[in-house]
Amino acid sequence: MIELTINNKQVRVEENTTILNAAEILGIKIPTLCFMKCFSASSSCMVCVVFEKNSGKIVPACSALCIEGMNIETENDELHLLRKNAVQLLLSEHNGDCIAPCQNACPAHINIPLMNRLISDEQFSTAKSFLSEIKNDVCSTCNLQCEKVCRRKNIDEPVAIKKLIEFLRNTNEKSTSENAVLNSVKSNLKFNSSYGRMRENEKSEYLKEAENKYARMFPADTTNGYSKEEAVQEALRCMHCDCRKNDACDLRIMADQFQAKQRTFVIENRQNITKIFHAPLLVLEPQKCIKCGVCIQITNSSKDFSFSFREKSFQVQIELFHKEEISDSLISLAKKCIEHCPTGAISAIK
Amino acid sequence: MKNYTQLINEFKKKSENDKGYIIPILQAIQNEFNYLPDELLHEITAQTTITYSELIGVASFYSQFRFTPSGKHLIKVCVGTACHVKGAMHVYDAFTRHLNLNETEDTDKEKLFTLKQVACLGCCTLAPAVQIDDITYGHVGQKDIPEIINDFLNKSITSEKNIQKHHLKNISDAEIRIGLGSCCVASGSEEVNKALEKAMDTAGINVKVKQVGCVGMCHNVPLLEIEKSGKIIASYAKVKPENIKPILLKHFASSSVFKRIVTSLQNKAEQFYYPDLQSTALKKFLDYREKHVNDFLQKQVHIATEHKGILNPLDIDEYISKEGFAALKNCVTETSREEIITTIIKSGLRGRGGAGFPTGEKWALFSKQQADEKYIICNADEGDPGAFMDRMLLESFPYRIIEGMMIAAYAGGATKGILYVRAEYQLAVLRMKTAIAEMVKKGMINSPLFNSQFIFNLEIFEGAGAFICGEETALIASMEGKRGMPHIRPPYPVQHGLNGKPTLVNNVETFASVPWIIRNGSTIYANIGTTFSKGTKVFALAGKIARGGLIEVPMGITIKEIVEDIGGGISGGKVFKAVQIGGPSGGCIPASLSETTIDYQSLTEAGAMMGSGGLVVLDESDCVIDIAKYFLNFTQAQSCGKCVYCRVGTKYMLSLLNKLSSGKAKMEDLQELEKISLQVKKGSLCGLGKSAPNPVLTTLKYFRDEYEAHISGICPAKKCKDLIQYEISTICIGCTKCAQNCPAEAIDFAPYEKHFIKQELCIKCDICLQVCPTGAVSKQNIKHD
Repeated sequence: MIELTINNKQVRVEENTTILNAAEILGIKIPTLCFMKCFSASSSCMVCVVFEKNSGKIVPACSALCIEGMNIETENDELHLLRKNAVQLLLSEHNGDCIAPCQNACPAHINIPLMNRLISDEQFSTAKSFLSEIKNDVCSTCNLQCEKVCRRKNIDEPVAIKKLIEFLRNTNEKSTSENAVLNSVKSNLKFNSSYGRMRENEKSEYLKEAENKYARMFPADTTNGYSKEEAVQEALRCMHCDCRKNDACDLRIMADQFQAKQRTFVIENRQNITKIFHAPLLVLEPQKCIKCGVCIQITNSSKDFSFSFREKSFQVQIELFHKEEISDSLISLAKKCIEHCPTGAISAIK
Repeated sequence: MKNYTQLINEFKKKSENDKGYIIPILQAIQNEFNYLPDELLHEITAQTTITYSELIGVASFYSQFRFTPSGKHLIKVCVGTACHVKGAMHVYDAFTRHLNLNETEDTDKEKLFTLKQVACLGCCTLAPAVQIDDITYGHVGQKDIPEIINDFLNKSITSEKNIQKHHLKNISDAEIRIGLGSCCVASGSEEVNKALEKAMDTAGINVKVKQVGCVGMCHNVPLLEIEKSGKIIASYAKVKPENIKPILLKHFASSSVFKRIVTSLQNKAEQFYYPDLQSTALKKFLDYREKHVNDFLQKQVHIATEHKGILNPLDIDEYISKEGFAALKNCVTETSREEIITTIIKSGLRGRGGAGFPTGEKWALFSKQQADEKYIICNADEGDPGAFMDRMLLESFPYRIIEGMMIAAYAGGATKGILYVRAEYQLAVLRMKTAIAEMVKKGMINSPLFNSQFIFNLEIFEGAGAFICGEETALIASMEGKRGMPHIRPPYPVQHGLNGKPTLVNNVETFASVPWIIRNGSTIYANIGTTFSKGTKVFALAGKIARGGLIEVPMGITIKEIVEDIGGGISGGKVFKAVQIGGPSGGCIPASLSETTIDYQSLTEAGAMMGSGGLVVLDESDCVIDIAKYFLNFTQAQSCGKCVYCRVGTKYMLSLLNKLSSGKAKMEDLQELEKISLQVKKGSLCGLGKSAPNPVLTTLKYFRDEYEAHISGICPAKKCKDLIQYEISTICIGCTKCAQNCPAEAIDFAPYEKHFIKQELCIKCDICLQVCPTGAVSKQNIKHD
């Protein structure tokens, strides 16, 4: 047994116990981001750093083992700053939007991308439910903020969001009140990642998510607006700028907790955004990865489906190799990775 | 196409665990094809338990491997520290232009050459150095490039690469010694060697020619020494093949010629013959080993480099005749394991790889571990740019290093040793392999040693090129076929190392010091040095110094003594500015603090660190921001990418430095740089990240005014490209030389009239300044004070 002190409290632990586990015994919570129970610690995010007073060293609690006589401090100003900066550094290499610019700009905060996806799936009644709580005159007073920031305008023209909203209001489908959908509209996370201007070579990545055959759809019937078919066509032009995991993202939660700012550390030459589709398994967005390596741990014994890091230093990226034939075991591995990935780097396509 | 199933099976047989041979097998494929063909990676996956992702993960981590076909020949431009300060990037750019490469290409259209930057070729005294395949060129200037390429193409037709050949032509008691360390070879000692053979044949002289390891005086290579009756009667520096004949005739034409003329010159530089400077050079003889006039050697103490320049690196009998293996024999036959460890503890020897952990304590901890297998690893993954100590020791003293390892193995109860050496060090690998084979033949390896129970087995593992693998946990990870990512200690490798077994990792120099300590006793060793830093340290002295080379100095010597007495001061009449010590983890110590002593404590207090032994001297023409940026570029690129502070923090620091060197920074950026540097130091997981800010922090501490000057748009050393421009003054004689050499056609010229530089076209390659015969071209800050 090893005896040590954490925040002035004595604790006795077995050999090979991490500081994080020892703290847990005492009921002391140390913030963690890349650490996940049931997986070996990667110690990559450095959010769990603690201070060892005897040696003056700062160590990650998730992997540092307890040593006899250690005197650990888990909270002080310096640690707080280190943790916050760790999150901010992660954010400075994190390229993607949490919520789409259109939703962010909308005074009523309508989840426009989700609405568009529902329209394109012909789930008009569900889509309509988005508008049930929103006053009719919101759009008329706002002067199309959503379309002004729509990323599609970098390619041709913005998605006709206002016309799609009008279409839903005019449609005679009844609105349902599906809680799941409504809940996803109301997120209490304040932090929002935004990567700035879309680059030329990122356009093709975004178009993987959208219909690119035609530009903005004009309704044949100018007085009544879009027909159902036209609305579906127009909604398909939406590029899914919002993150697939925007409410379940540990990085976002941590950013919120530390009131982190994304542009504290501005790095020259950010990486290009890529969206790599491994249909029907998952979509990979390496620029959202925090390099925890959990996906690699999950798949390390599989020859048919496995993740790896490629390159090193700032260039390091996750990459997926899988055999072409899709089997159940591949699907279940993919699901496991989607479930455990702490960010939107690995997510389900739908 | 070979049968690769067979190749894979051969590797499989060698190792119980498939993962253990990932790197060797990738190296075998890379060596065969110059890249890793995808179908072969799939072949490995099919034949073994290794997954394709593992192969990609590992192969993309190490710089040795590439995924696309390369040209027939590989040009490696060394961008190590010493080369950097002597204009390596200009050379690299010139190669790019010569081969017509655009920004994304590294291979020319004809697929003849692939161009690559390498961290360090370990020939720092020949800076800037370039290696094409296995031929090294030193002191490369931009304008030499066409000539070098031609020379290489001619050589590669009649390629002979047998540096290992022994040729003993016995005659009388005379001996000609020629240095064949990497520096010597690169400076043309092989050509000299060939000329020597030829000249002896034609003259009918038969003198024993001995190839020796590094002499240490790399600034004077190729070095040729003539010994007669056990005494050195002449040393020739910078010998060229055409000088051989007169030298031979002088000494060996007839016995009456043997006259020893002794001079009492005080000036060290004149102790050597410079045949290329004087055609009738043969007028002075001097035994520099007897005379104390030799400053270069006078202040040195040779322990790890004992008998340097005398031993034939691979002659095991000669090593034995010079007390070689005496220490080992004593240990194995007469000393208890505890006594050996006590001697090492008492000697005060500390790990020479950089961190300086007490060696004896590490051994004691290791010997206590109980396990069915224990490993000894010699860490020869020397990766500091600007450091070549380990390479020289490996090339010159292979038996001494093995002896040190075997003493450690015996004391620690291990029987298996692994020498982890950078694959780039081809000559070192070759010498070590030969040395091991010789020892196997002698029954010292793989057989009971000196009739004892101790049987030692030694293998070589070639590192695939990653600076981080110098860190022991990363080194072990790479041997286990993983990406070289370090983990937090404890568990320490001595407890839980390679394959989960106790593993003792020590640096080359540490092992090389051990036999001397055992032979001479801990007290004599501990008497050298300071209170907390005992013994000697080997440094690779390079940069803007008159006499660079491999030096071994007692701890406690001052920086000033090294620079001025051993190094002969700054070359070219410039002013001494600083020394960069400890490589990318170390820092710059300014000339004003040159009384700082070389010991672990003082260097750390000054903000630098001992490091592995790179010592690069800077003069007034070196810009500290450029130096800081250079090192940070290196560590940033070599970060394993695991922890966020090292991966992203160093990248952010680099962004700030780039802002500074381009004159776009503000005062706030300076504070920001300082803040983030301290955060990276605290928040990083391993030593690489924790020490990466040192070059920035020390330069900020000692040269803050220079940083501030950059904020106002001035680079005082006139080094930062964005802040300077080239100008031609009125002393221009109109010779058109600059215009002829300008790759950008940026010089407006008419013969015999003053030339002009068209600034908008100028690419600032520096060639006009280098070729101008009158010194009319100068660099000026665009913005004046």
